Amino acid sequence: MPRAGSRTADSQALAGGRQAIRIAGILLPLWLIVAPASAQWTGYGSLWSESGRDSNRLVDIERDGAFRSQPASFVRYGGAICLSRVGLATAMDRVDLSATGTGARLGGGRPGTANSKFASLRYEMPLAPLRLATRLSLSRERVGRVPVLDQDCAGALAQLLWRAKGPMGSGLWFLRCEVEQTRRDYCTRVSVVDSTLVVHDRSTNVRVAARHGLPCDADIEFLVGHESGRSNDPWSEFGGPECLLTLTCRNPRRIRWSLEAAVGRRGYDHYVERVQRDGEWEDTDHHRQDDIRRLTVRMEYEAAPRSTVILEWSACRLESNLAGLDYDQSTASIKVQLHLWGPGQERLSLPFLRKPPAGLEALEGRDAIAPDSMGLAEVCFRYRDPLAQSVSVIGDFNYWGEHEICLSRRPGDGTWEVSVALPPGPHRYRFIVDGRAVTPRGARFYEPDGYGGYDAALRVPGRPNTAESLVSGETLSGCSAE
Amino acid sequence: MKASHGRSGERLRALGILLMIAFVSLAAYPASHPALASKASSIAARTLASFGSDAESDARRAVIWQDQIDAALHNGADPDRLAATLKRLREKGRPVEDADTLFIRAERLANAGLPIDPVLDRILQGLARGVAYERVRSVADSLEARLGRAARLVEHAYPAPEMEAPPQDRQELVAECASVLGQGVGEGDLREVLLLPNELASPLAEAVSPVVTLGFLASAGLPADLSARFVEAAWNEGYRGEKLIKVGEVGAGSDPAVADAVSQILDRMGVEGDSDEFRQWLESVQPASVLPLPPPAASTSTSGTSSQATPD
Repeated sequence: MPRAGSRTADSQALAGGRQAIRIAGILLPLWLIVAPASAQWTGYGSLWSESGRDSNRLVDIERDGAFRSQPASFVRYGGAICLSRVGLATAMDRVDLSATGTGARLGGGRPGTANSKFASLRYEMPLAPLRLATRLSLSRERVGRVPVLDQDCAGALAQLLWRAKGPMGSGLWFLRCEVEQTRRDYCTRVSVVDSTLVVHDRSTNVRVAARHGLPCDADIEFLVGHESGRSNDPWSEFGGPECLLTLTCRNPRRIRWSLEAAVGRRGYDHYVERVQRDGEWEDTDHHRQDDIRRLTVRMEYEAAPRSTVILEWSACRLESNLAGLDYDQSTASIKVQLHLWGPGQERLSLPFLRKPPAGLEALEGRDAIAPDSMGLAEVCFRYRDPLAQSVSVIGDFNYWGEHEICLSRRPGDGTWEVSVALPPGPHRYRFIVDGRAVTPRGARFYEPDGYGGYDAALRVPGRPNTAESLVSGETLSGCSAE
Repeated sequence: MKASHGRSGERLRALGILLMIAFVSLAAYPASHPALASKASSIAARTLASFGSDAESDARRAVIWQDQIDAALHNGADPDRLAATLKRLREKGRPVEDADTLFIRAERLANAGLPIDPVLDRILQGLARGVAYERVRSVADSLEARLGRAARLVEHAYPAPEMEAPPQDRQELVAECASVLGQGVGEGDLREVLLLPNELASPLAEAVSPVVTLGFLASAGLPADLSARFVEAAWNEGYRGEKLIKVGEVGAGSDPAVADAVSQILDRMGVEGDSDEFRQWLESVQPASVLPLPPPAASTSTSGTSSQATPD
């Protein structure tokens, strides 16, 4: 009986095997047809160094092809590359990854994971002084396998369910998930072609951004669950709610600007967001409540706006500390650095023209400028800087330094001054202080110089072209104090 | 000895070029203004001598440059500024082709009736600051384009055939409009302000002050639409010319709350509202002794009045 049973089992297994082969014979060609041969891989890479300052060089790859980075100055560095592709992963997919160059060795990485819904690859590259090229092949794994992205993660196994609702057939969704680990961070960029994607991930912190290839009004719902059932809060091991950071930058004059915000926190590499468009920029981010955060916002303007930056954060037991405002007038850019320690709101008004960088003060003839009978007006240029060694003024009236006009130091204080007869009309000028061009504070007006900076400006009443400038041909020498 | 020979050779060469240009001037431009022709010759000769190229090219350039410089000077270009720009080009080691380009630009501006000095000044400033010449050129290009936009706006508001005015009036207005556009003010707001004096006797000259005032306010950070409304309100109050510009200085200088204050005042006034609000605000930020108020608004209708309505 046992033999007969065994034969029956064998024959059943044989029949099952034949059935499986038959099904596979049907499904495999079908799958090869369905799998888009032209699917493109997209990539996202980061390189970091151990020298400190130059860490966190992020390189985005949005296309097929070579991913090149040449951090030549790094002594020792590593990297992580995340690759994903639009469409189904196929057995024929191959990713060639190589690192070549002086003193480069590729190795020590973990192979990636893949399933039928999405494919991803993460590969770490400690680089050492050897010249070597490594080739990796990414193949499809079993359907339904849970991709555990990092076995070494200490956190609880959390399950993140992404459910996107909307006209999914009208275009591709690009969902981006940045998963931050306790000791290091990495990210996956996942392309989804159907309505639901389930990602099981040992994550401690998750940041999700989504965008759609075509404009639509679809909603995306993110449900966070937990595999073990111990808690519904994947951050529960840290004992508190997440912190919501909303960064809103408003530019009332709608002048085109670029904005770069970097958020740093203890124990993490920071990530950088860049915005290159008009208007408001909002970034909502979840963080652990005990993060010590450093937020840096840098903006560059085309012209001089009166802009407001509104920074809001909530649900954190932190306190705010405005660390500093670094103001660079020559490049028309500002840099704000904040240390965020608590819930609150910080509103920064950035009146570019009203807050020059230096603590020095310059005055040009604040008294009424009245032209004489020839139409010329005596304008007194004053500049207050007790530490300056030499001060001169350049402007359109002396063809920007063609004839030097030096300011004399008034005995007793740090005020420098000179009187210049100017013809009617608008005039732009700057001071040269110890060889450095300075746009003074306290000028009547300012005008953009077209080169990214601003000139001080004044206007002599009357009609232009009625008198010639007296400064033409005037040459003074020796602008020093002595 | 060699240096001495070199210097005398250069002098002889410059003299030869000068004679050649003088001959060309007399032969080709007998009707040109003598003073301007003399300056054009001088600039062309100095430029040729300093840049230096082969004799055949010099002769060709002498003819072309003379024409271009003459056109620029006739259009009101400052010869000293032009000479200073060329000198800077030479000092920066730029090739003679850059001088060609500069003269072509000057001639192009002259033919379009656009002011040349603002462009020369911007180039000069860039060269003096050591900016890469490619960047200088692109800045000059953008300024030239802005001058073109401004000229079209002025032409649209005050068409040349119907509105006779000295060319320098139109150029001054175009230069001011370009400056205001460079402050980020939109064409719509500028057009509104530009048309304020359209019923006066000499609107081109009168339009300068509201445009300048608009630029002052915009440069102080006041939103463009609010600035335009402010200028209009002051204009309707009877401020003209330098007094209007003074009002603009006051408005621009009453920072930091100028935008809010002006906005509130203008909101309270409305388009046809009580102008006493405006006067009270103006007196509060600037005593009447410093900035005399104009006659009441009722006597300063824009129709048929000219700068006589200007407060004094």
